[in-house]
Amino acid sequence: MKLKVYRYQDGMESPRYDSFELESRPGLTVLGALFQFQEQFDDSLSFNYSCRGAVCGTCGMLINKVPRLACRTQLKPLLRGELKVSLFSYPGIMETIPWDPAKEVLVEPLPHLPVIKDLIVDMDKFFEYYRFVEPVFRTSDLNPEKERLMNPEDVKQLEEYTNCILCAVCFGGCPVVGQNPKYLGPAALAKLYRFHLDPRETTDTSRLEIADIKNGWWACDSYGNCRKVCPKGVPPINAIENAANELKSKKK
Amino acid sequence: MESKIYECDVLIIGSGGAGCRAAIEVSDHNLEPLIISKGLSFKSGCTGMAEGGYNAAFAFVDCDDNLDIHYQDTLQGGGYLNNPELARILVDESPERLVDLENYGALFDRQESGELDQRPFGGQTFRRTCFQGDRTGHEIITALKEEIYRREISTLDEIMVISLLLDDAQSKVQGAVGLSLKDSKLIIFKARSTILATGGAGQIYPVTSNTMQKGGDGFALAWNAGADLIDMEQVQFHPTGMVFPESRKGVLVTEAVRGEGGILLNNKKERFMGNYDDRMELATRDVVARAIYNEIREGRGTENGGVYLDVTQLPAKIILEKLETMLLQFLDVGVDIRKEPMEVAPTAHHFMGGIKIDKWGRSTISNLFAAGEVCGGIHGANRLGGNALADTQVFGKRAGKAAALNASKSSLKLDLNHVNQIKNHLNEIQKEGDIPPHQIKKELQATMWEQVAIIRNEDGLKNALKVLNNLETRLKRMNVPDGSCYNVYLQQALEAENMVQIAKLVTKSALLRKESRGSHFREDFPQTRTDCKKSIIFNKNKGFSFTNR
Repeated sequence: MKLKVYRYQDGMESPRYDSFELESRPGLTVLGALFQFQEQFDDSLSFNYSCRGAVCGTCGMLINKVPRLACRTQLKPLLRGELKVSLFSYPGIMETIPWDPAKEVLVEPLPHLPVIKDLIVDMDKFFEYYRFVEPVFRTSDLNPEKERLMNPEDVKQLEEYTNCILCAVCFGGCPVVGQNPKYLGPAALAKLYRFHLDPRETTDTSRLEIADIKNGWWACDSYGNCRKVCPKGVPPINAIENAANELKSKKK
Repeated sequence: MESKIYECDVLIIGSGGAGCRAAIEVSDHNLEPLIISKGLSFKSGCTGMAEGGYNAAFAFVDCDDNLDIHYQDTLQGGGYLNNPELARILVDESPERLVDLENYGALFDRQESGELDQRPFGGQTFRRTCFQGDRTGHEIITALKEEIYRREISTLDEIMVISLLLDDAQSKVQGAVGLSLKDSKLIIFKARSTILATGGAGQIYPVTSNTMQKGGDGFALAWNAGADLIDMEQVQFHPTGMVFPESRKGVLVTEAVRGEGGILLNNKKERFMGNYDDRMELATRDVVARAIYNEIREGRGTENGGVYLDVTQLPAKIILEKLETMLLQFLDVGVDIRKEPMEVAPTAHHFMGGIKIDKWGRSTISNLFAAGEVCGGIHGANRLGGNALADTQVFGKRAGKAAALNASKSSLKLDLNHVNQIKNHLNEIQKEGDIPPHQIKKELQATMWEQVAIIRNEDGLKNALKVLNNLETRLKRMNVPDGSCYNVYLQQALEAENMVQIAKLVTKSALLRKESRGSHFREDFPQTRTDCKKSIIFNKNKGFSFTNR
């Protein structure tokens, strides 16, 4: 099996692809394969990683034209044609080079973010939008001496969104982000909705109003790629649709 | 090599739980902290990877629990090697620090009554571990990060700190020098106080639960600056890490699995823990890790070199709700833990040893503070599961406060000679050689795993020291070509230097401790000796010494 890796650094006119024949090991992940590439083929290959356990959200990449975490994705099932995710197509995932999915695993940087080198993208814009939604806990009951009481059902509902690890995989997988670079994107909006849902905060729609703008809730075209690619099972599209509905019914 | 200069009141190295909590405290004192990280901010620490929970004796579930019992459990679990003053502070302040986290927006699981839920963990008399499913650390680091955004605290990432800066007299820390990994430029950080919150050194072992960044940089920085390091031989091996596949070897399988009722089985499907400890699967981590190691060594392990951890007898609902991360983590590799057992084996997890601190996180060098796993003494010879997250918050806050107070008093006087020495070292390191830096790391890891891991003896340790000394001389032959954008060679070479130094300290300290206590087990000295109830302190300038416990 082969790894076909996107290579780019400052000064190159266009990116190139390096192919590397891998030692086949059972359970080899794309991240493991990249380390093998680095050790045996070219140790100048650059990519980000940290935890190896799908918790830190550092190794988001485009793998076989689907945005995923390199540490979670195994090569063998990919080559067997499994792990297919049917996404609404957009330029960022269209085929640009010849590639044989039965023999090769194609690894490229996440779409919609500028490439710094090889597989490393500049996440600044992603985090700028995340910070735009003011992801900061605000409570009416500031600094109580003791812990609050909470309904366990509420906790469960919130968990669906607190699971987000800010890996930007949904940002790279959203067709709207590609068309409209000012769109806040699924992760930031899901995060905002998480605070709106939190029963410890106010129950009105004031939180949602932060993204009640052209490039906020209303820019989503409901493609649903975000939910399909999220490695942690977060459904940003549900958050966006719920928020939009709540705002609409309030305006009526 | 160009260099940028930053100046701040308090420089915090590391953006994990302890570094973040320290930064919040500094900002509470109206001073400016600056947080720098080797990886991406908030993503490269181990806090976010912690799964099982945070110990605080609220007594919400078991009403007989209290701070004294938490203290006793902590000392007993630590083989009474703990600095009792630090352990006392840990348990006393842990509940308040959890309330702080909730005020930053963190979410913890609740009981029907609305009160916090608490689960059983190893070595604890009562159920006292607060949690959020099996993503407790993720929830904590997320809340801390958001609080840091609220306060608009500055962060810089992808900077590897390569040296602390000292004054002319070599006695006071004045900040640090970092290498920007993005462009290989030097950055000088001038700071009135510096806090090390860099975590441990799991990466000196080939099998570890730690993030890839944890090569003991903070230990090495403190050591080189002349700070005392304490009990470096005490390395905790978490009993349950993944054994399969290779790419995920060592990744943590949380203690919460056993807390929720998971049982350990050998290849004969015998529940073997009863042969080792009455507390069965919930004995302390040192005991469970050695038991598993022994089962494997005596031929009762699985084909992949582990034992089974089984939750198939638990209701699927519990698995889905309380162990969801584990369920997904194993589904990824083709194992449905609702239907079949996991395979697990010990993995290097936590350094109980580290920078010697006082109750305010002060190191033995002026202006240098430390918090979190990089410190030693709190957990003694073995840390209880759930005490590390608490440690980051309790001692993060304390170090932050002390560093802030210190910063308002101390002045800055940079020694330019020292800066030049550091630049020269970087220039020397970048040259053609015949050994790739990752090879040094690999050889070091293999030696540490074979001879300085779960079961140790004098011959093995002496042999390891020989290998490490040899690696040290080979550091000069590392191949480090120039390259300005993400020079992987340079980063690896600097890490290899730190790892050799720390591995040597762990080994030397293990040779000195001629007994078995907590995580340190010597097969040639299998008993715990009352005359050895003392901490081992190493100092670059003064050699080693002991302090009674």
